[in-house]
Amino acid sequence: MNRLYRILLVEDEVSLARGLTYNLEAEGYRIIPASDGLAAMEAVEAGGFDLVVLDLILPHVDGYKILLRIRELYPRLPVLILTAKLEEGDRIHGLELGADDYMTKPFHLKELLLRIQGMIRRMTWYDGRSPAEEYRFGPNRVNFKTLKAAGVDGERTLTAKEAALLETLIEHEGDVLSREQLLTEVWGYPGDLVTRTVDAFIARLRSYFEPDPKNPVFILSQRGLGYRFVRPPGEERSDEEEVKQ
Amino acid sequence: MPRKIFHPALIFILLQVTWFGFLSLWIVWFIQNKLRIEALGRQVGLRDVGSGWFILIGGSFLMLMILLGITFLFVFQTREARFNRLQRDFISSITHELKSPLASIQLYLETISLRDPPAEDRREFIDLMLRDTERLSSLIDNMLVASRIRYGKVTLDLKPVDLYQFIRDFMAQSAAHHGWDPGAVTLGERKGLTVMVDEKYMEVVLNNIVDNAVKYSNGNFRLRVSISPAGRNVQVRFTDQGMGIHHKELKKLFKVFYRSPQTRSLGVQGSGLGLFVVSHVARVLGGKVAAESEGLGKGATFILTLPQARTQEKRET
Repeated sequence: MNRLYRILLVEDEVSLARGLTYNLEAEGYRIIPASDGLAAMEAVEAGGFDLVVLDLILPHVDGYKILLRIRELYPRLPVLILTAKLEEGDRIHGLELGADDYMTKPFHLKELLLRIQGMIRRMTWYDGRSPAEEYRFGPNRVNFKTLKAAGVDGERTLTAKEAALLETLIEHEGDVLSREQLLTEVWGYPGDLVTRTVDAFIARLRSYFEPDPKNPVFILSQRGLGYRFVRPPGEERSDEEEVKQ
Repeated sequence: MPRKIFHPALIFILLQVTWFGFLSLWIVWFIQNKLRIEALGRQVGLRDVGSGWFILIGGSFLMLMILLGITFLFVFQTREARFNRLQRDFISSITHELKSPLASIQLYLETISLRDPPAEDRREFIDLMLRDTERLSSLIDNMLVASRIRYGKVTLDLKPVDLYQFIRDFMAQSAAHHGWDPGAVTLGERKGLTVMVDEKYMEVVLNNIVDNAVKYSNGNFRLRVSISPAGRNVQVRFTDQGMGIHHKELKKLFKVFYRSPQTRSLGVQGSGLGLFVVSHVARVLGGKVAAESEGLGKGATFILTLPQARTQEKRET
């Protein structure tokens, strides 16, 4: 690693926070600790970190509120939720609010480290992309360098995961990709552990880019198989990929 | 708004009002028409039609019985629903309470196996893991005692115990196991007050009181403990400087699964068992427990009253 990445660690359990700090520092990350909701909010306002590991149940301010604030201030910042809440609704809610990944306690240390590594890799990969490419489909524009997107509900900045998912779908235009394939390609872990994660992200992308998210025309569901990206009829692939300065 | 309109209690009341209205109309109609019916009866040639009153009274009585029955079922069902909801919350909070220490133990074990840390770090990790197992074990104690209380299966092994010595030893042990500063607790010396208690249950009681004082301390854990005789009883006052208790909550705190809205909104985790266990164990030991607080942010006092042991004839003053 040629640069020291800083992780905001929001965890109120003293012993978990100590163990996580120990391990993440051993991996070469710098840790900014926050042991309750208020401290986390202050840290978020102050900024200066590259990734957030966020517990949901916290004293004073709950994790969802912190996540909302993070998204207001830093649309692209990778956020990993690490919580003992294990109901599907909590997971979906967290992902809907803009988290990139979700792990439940107790967790495997190696898996956590791999996921964090993957999120940082994605982020730096986007940072390192050369010319500003703008990709268009229908009325939408996405710039995969800046992650700025203009869709049906106006301008926004995609998170690294949203961008990665959209890009993967576009790369395989016309082909059906299963949830498992998408999990492996975008999130970097195999298996069908959290296939609903993909659904939550697809719902997010549709709300950004589909004129009518209930009747999608770009990101289609293939019942029982997965998802597939298509362009509207009449749009040619080669004409649309312009390279702007 | 629509959810409020269709609240079950409201529907129930409306149905009852409608039903009662019809019953009243029927009675009024009956009384107004009784004379006419009698006249009609006489014309037809019937001599005695007076049994109409019996129909009215019998009918009304039957209707009232049905009303009582339905009300009883409704109240019972509402209570059941509330209890089910509490139990659901309980299961979700207890899983959280179990999972957090478990996650930490797993993390340290995996850390040790992955990184082979130096002896000093390993020592620290082992201490942290022991603290977590202590947390797990107290929680399981609470669950066991609560279930014994609910099914009335508490069997006590009573022994005379000098309360001051017992509390002093408990505090020293608890500080070591749970990792808080022993200087945070001040215990006023008061030797010679003996109570008959089951030591195991008494530890569960003290554990919960201290654990609450730590948990709701806002990071500033201070506990003052004073023991004093009160007639034939002994009173122990545990005063903390924590987040305090709203006066409306003072009694509810001891109900099973109850957690105050303040603790929920502050995100402090708990099972809703601790004080239920404390109050019932105190009762089983022939005593009681009460809570006092000037309000939120002003600390709280838990007063444990236990009967003095009979063998203690001479009291020191």
